[in-house]
Order: sequence, then C-alpha cells, then structure tokens
Amino acid sequence: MIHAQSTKVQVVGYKTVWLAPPSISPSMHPYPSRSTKTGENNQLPKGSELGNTSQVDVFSDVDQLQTFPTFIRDVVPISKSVTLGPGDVLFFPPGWWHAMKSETTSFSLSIWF
Amino acid sequence: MCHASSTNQLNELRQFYTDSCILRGLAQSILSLPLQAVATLDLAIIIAGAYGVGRMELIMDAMMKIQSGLRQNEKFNMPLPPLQPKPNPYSVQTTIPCPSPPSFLSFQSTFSSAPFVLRNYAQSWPALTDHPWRSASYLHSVAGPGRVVPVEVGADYRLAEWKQDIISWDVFLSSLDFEDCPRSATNRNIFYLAQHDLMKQFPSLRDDILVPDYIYASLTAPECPGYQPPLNEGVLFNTWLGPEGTISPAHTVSSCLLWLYLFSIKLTDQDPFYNFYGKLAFL
Repeated sequence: MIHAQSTKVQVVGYKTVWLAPPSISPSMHPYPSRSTKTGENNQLPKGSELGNTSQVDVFSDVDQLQTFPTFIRDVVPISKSVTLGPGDVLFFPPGWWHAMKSETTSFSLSIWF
Repeated sequence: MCHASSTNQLNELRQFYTDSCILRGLAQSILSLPLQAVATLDLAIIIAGAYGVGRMELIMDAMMKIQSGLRQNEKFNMPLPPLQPKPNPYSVQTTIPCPSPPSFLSFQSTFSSAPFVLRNYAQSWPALTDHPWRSASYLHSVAGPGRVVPVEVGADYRLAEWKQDIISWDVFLSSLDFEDCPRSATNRNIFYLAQHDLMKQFPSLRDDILVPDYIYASLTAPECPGYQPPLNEGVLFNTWLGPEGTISPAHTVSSCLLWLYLFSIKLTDQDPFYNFYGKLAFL
C-alpha cells in the first residue's frame, strides 16, 4: 500500500478529527480486504475498495465498544482528537488512522504529498 | 462492462470517454440543450479526468462559451461581513499539539514525525476573506449554470443505503446550510462531496488558496516503510464539502486508493461510474 503525507486545511465550519498511530493497526479491526476474503463479501463497506477501513465507530462512547476489547485497551489511551475551525491546518504523517465528523456545514481541503 | 488490464488500456478508455463527452456535449449545444451540454462536459472531467492532450482546455473553453449564452448567476459582490475570529467552541478536547508554525527546516527534521495543528494558519487566504467559500453565492458564481459534481448520498459509507451519484452543483449547494443561504427545513437530503478535486472543475478556486511550503519538504516515514508521494507531480489536492453529521470512518490514507476511487478498473455494478462506462455504447 502506498501512503502519503497528509495536510488538511479547514476552510468553512467545524470538523472533529480522530487520529491513532500506525503501530496499533491490528487493534483497529480493519475490514478484511476483498483479496483475502472468501465467501460472502458483504462485510466490506461499499465505499472502500481496500481493507484499510476500521469496523470500530471511533466516535461512539466507550460503553458501546465492548465488542472490541483490544481497541479499548490499546487504542483508546493513545488516540488523539481535535476539532478544526476555519483557517486551521492539521498535518499528520503517512499510515496514521484517521476518522472525521462534521460538526457543522464543513468545507475542507486535503493536500497529500 | 469494460475492464482495463493495464495503465495504457485504462488511459485509452479515459481518452475515448473524454472525446465521446466532448462530441456529445457539442451536439447537445447545437441542439439548443445548453444545460445538458455543460453537464456532459463535466462528466469528462469527473469520470475520466478530461484525459488527453488539450482536452481540459478544450472543455473549459467550450463550457465558457455555452454558459455565456445562458443567464449567469449574478456577479459575486461580497455580501457577507468579514469572518470575525472567535473561540473554537470545541477546542477544549484537543489532544494534538498546536504549536506556532515551525520553520521549514524544523518541520522537516522534527515536527513532521507526529500530528500537529496550526491554528488560524489559513486565516488570510482569499478562500476565507474576499472569496469566501462559506458563501453559497460565491460558490454559485465560480461554477456558473449547469455544472454537476460527484457526491456520496448518506451520512456514512458503512450504511446500507449509502450510494454515489452525480448531481447538479446548484441542487447540492441547496442541501447545505450556508450563512447567506440557510438550508430549508424541508430539505432532508444528505449529500457529501468527498475526496474530489473541485479545483480541477472550477479552476478559479485554486487562486483562493496558498499552498504551504511544507509540502516541498523531503521527508522519510519510519513508521510507514511504504511511504511514497502521490503519482501526479507529487501532490494531490482534494476537497470535502458536506453537512453537519457526515462521517468518514477510521481509515488509513493511500494515494493508490484515491486513484482507484475515481478511475477504478474493477467497478462493481452498484457503482454509478459503472453505469457511466456502460453508457459509452450510447454516446
């Protein structure tokens, strides 16, 4: 998989970003990729061609994450989050897990390099 | 359904699709169907990247001529008051460092190894001042009539009812809540323009941003041995515009994935892009 450096510029509104380092990948419970799966293929979300998407809803309360104990143990203590407002710029290195949630109408620009 | 087995074959398909759209768009224009003509030309950009020498210039030129015969949106005249700096209502939960902007060298040697936020770094960009992207009126004016854009339909791509579509830019903007054009209470559509380079379709938006020097840094990525810059000239821009509540689930960035998203060589029959490729025979 090819990874790029990532910069995100928030231009309009507010957006919450959640981040976790590449080292915790097994505890993110990624969907199995199509190439490694057998049988039914209804587990992979339609929007994802590769198994680089987590099955965990990182924005839900810890109480609702009991089915992912390794996520609670390994990821929750070291994950980071920030809410970007107009004019804010976020940088993160390649391979970092990230999730986003728009708090208002949101317009942002990403620059991968 | 067409499957391309090599980059060359894929590029041949992209150019064929682009040229088909150009011919079809010009025919629609001659037949006095200007809005349809503009939308057809947009498909060449959205689906095939207007692939081929001189194609993008030809499409932009034709689109401008066709739009000039239509009633233009009123010229944007800055109806919004300047954006006042105000406290971020969500900043209390921040667990990511927010330093002053580092120098180019300290970014390259130190800061690039971990996430950080530069608060208000882009505050003086035209996109936040006299060409405000927060204004629906401005966003209408940069596009002109008849334009279409790719959107995700639904708040989260893991939901069963989620799908992709290509819809009118004006319809899309009316689904969002803007200062100068509040969303109507009866409009319940959730459209999310995600992972799409809007600046390629509306080039004047490119003049509204200032690219940070940091992207020219020479970086290594010890935590990610597969690191390699994106293919097209080393930099890839994408825009993300959507309403409150849209979510991108946790994932890792892959420049390869992005390319597949737009020009997938293994389209599924649920994919709207499949349908557009399927329409090649009718062009």
